[in-house]
Amino acid sequence: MRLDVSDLHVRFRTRSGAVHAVNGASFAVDSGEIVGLVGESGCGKSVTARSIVRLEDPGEITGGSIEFGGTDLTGADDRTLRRLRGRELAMVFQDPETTLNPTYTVGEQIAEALRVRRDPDDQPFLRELFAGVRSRVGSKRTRKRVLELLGEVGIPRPEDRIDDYPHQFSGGMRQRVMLAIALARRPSLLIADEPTTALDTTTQAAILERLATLNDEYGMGLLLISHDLGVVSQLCDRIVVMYDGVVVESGPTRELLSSPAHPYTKALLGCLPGRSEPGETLPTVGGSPPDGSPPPAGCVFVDRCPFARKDCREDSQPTLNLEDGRTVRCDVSDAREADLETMRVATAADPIDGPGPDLNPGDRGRTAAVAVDGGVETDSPTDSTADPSGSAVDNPILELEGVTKSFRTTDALVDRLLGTAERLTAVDDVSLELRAGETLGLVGESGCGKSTLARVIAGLESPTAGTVRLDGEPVDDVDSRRDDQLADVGVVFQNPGTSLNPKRTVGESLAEPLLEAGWGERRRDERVEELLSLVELSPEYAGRYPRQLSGGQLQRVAIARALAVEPAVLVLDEPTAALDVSVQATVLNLLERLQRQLDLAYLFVSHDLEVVRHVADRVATMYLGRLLEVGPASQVLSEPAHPYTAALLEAIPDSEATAGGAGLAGEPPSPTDPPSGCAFHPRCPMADDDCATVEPTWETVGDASSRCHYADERADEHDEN
Amino acid sequence: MSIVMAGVSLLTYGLVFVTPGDPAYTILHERRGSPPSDAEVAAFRAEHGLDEPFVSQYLSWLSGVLRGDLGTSYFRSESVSTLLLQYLPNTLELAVAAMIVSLALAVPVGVVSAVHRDTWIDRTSQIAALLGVSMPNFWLGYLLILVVSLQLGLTPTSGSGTLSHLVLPAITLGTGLAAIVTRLVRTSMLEVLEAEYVDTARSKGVRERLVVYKHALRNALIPVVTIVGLQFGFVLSGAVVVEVVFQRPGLGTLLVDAVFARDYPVVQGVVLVTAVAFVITNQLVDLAYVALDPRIERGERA
Amino acid sequence: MSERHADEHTWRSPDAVLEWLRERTRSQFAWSLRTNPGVRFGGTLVCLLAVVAVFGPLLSPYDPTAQALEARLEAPSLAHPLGTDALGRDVATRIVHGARVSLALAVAATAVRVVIGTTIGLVAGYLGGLVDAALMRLVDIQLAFPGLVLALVIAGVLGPSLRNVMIALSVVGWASYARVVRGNVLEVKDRPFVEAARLYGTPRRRIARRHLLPNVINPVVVLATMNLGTIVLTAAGLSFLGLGAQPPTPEWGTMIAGGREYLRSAPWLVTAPGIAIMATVIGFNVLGDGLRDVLDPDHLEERERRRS
Repeated sequence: MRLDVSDLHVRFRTRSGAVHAVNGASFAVDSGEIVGLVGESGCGKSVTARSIVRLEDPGEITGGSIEFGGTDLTGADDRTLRRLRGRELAMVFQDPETTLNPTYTVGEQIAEALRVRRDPDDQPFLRELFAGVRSRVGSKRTRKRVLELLGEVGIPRPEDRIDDYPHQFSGGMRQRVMLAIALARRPSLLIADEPTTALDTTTQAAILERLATLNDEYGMGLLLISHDLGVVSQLCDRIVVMYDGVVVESGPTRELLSSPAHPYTKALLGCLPGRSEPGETLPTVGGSPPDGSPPPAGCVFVDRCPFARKDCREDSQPTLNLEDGRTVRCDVSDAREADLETMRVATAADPIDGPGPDLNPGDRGRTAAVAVDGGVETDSPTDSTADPSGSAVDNPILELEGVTKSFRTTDALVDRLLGTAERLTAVDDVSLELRAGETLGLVGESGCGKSTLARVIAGLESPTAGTVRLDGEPVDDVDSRRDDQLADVGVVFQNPGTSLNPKRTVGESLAEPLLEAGWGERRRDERVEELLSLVELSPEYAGRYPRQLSGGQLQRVAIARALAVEPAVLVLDEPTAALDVSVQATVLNLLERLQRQLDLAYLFVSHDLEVVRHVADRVATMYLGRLLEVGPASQVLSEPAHPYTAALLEAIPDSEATAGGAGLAGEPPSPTDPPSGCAFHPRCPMADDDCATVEPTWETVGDASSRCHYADERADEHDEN
Repeated sequence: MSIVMAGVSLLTYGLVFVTPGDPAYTILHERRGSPPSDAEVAAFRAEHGLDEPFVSQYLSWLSGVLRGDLGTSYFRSESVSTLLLQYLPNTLELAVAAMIVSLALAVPVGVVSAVHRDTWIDRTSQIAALLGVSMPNFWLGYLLILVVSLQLGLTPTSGSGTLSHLVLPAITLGTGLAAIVTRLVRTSMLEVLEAEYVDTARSKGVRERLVVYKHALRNALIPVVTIVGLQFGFVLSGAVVVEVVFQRPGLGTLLVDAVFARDYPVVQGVVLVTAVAFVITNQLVDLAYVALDPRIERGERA
Repeated sequence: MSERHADEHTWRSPDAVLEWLRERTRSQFAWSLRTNPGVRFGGTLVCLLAVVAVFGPLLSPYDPTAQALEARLEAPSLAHPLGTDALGRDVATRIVHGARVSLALAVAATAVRVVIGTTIGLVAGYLGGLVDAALMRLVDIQLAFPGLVLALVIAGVLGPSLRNVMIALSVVGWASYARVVRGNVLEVKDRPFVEAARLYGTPRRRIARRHLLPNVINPVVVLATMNLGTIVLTAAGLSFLGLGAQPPTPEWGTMIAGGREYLRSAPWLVTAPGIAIMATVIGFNVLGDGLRDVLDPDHLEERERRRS
């Protein structure tokens, strides 16, 4: 059945006025087709998805139509909706933590969908309540079907899991259960709202692969909503790009990605780190992201568009049909035909949420210098990656030697006294070095211990064994570090929303490290202003509270605070993971510039290999608390000498999907009971008996070292290719 | 658990020793209305073991308690345990009746209020709940006596024994609790109705009525159960006052009389029983929790 | 105000929108405080009561305690708007004086509870470990006694008086503050901004004062407001039982106790103080509810934002 959304408007009433979430979105999904709906946060894509299944509440549809198989859903009554939801239209939501009912077994939740499908109009109240109380699927026929479904979505040993509750499953497995609930209805269209965003890349690869297969087998249409162009391009036949509640461009995946027509699409593609050379300044989008206020009469992108003409603001933009089935909502031919390189030049000098309009004349000079600086850097993109060999002669600022950190898994007093508590080794025997001006990227799946390692280095945890050395001197946790040692390390956390005390102004937050370091008031005020300009924010931000800043601005303040007392090392724990790609680009550019300007050493923790490839000089891969591979980014991320690094690289979603090799089988084992031999062997495609018993030692491959028995063979393979 | 019970017993026994001055002297003074002689005080102390050091007094009381012996009233011939056994059933009867009245009223009203948020049904029940929590229960008791017993002559004004004796006290005591629970059920329900899994159920095509009663209500009741358990203390407190208003023999009237008469063994007995009852209720609540929320059980196993 | 914003919308240059947003968020707190119906209604009621308690006694022509046996049990009239009691005292005057007693007692007892409870909660939550375990057992013990029963025994043992009721109500009831504060501290203390403070060497005491306390205090304010109402109720209950204010002190609970013998002949003796108690408690409850929406809006606003 075909889905046809036309001129959809959705609005939310909040206490502080109406939020215009969708402002006239139009697109269609043909039966059996996979369509991707992309855009940054707040662009209205999720609201659109929810409106299709009519779960837009508390928003309201104020205009347009949603036709599905000939029925207009905006006017459908409860009975029609129930039938459609029960049989034709299924939805999978983003966060598998919260989408399953915690009080019923997964079997019952799937069986319920089966019962509804059988007869959507007859749902006996008492039968259903009783089914809930029993919470075990009774009917043999239903049970058999539920087991089939669980198997189909890839849950191992369904008989053992059918009577388990959602909390007993991992995130990826829960998302599979959600898929099973969707499939129970044999729908003709599945709407998946960011189905893999909360999951690891390796798990994501497996779920996407499963979605593709199901589309194949069931002939089921799929509307995939995502902020991640990689995910969308890997799976979709067509892509629809949304901005500020409006579809700005749509078309077949390949054409749209290779020659985007709308300036926003170009900007969005341009700021992906994977599309630029490592170390190169990323193109950014000027202006501020949409805020839900009523859109202008003309083009929604006008305020941020480098090609905007006077009439763009007032005149409604027509939807033009280009060749090869693409449509674009832009009337300016220069803009449509501009290539990415032109875009890059047009936007290079315009940081997204920097001071821009707020700057007074005095400051403008300073930022302009920054922009020129960035421009120069663009001409010699390989500069900073070629550099580390030069600084390698220096002594390392930070050294880790056999660092191990383990936690008790229980807080019970009895266990503590008897010493019977199980211990979880989060970081196991890690040795690393970091030099001035160098960026070390630390990568791995969630739970691999990379954040714990960052915390040990920062001094928030003290290591259970091994030594951390700062400037050659061993240090413990923050409570025992000297003032100059505290000043040496700055930390930037993942979530900018919680990095700053909401009750203190930006200025007060920035002044705190200075106060603790004993600076006088006058010097503090000067330094706060200096720090703000360092991160391209105008001095007036000092008086604002965190809630008045956007995510990107908050992260700039967090970076400024980390730099307050002039550290030599910056520990960056997923600094851009919570940001949109366009904001991410500006933050990455800022970090790049600061490193050059201040000769900083970065420890860059991230799950995103594209980002790490862009920023890092060297890369370390971590798995179950251990390092598996360390080496120059250029080598490790192109010719990995460890199968785990290779698997992580393979799991990166992109349009050149690797058929068949869908990343890693299974999920990481429990760190309380790590496997013998090589920790990775249960999931390794090339493991043999040796791997299960003998722990591999470090092997040198080129400039990198790898902890794999077969590192050399892998290297030979690369050479042959 | 055991630490808490030990603390409870110590506090219970220790309470009466905060009396300003010498308890024996004060008791005798108040009893006779004139200062007692030294010999009388000494005799009273010896009779009730008050001449020993506090710790040994406490320990001997505690060992008595563990054998079921709570001592003897200073003024009545009965042992404290006999008195408690005699009065406890009346209070329990009242507490249980009040609980039933309030839950039977509060849960449906709270659910309906949440489902029809911001309609007149919701507003009315919200206002009623506000009046309910803000009304002094002894005052409500008198109003009910005034209207139902005196004007309409439907129930007796005081005493205990029959169902008609129980109606007004149960309503008086249940109203406050009903108001609290209504608000709680409503809040909890509103929160749960926003949960993603409720939308999941809707997106499956499940009927709205089942979405509310099968998917939302069970989750919404989880926090309610805890609070209702905690509110048992509220019921016991309220019972004291309500028993006085309706002149029902019960732990409340026993306690008030004993406090005024400084009949310390009885005071200690009543306080201990209420505290134990409260702790036991909370243990029961934990059990109910496990039945409602599968996540808890797992937490204990792990 | 809204008109000006509407203009800026149609114009909608990025600076204008940014400024508009900033303006909106900056004033949001004050704005929602002023426009929240709960805060307005409850606040007005509470202010009114406070005014009555402070100035009312100065305006009343009658002495709240002087007996006038010739005018006993008079029905409400112009001279005595709420009638007179069994000893001929003006009920309205006694109620106005009673407001003073009730409010003063509630404020004092709440202040003590807040200080004890917040301190214990903060220390337990922040230090954790054995300190936390010990303090929380103390809280459990306190919570095992139904509030009124414990207060009743303490007040009774100390001897019936208003002062002793205040002492009794101060030493019970702090446990809920301790629980709330501890719960919030546990949540806040692992937030990155607290860890950042550790990183640049902030002493624990200063972290607790500067970073934890301001971020856990809002629910305490809400709880305290509601608690003022509860304490008015409990104090009235204790006085009703004869353990609080002693006659002839004008106290609402005592007045109800004194009026119960005349339930049939002079119902105003019980009704009037009851309504006074109720109005006070409603005021605090509504104000507390409103403050919760403004100060502790996590579930409300957050959800709206997440959806849009």
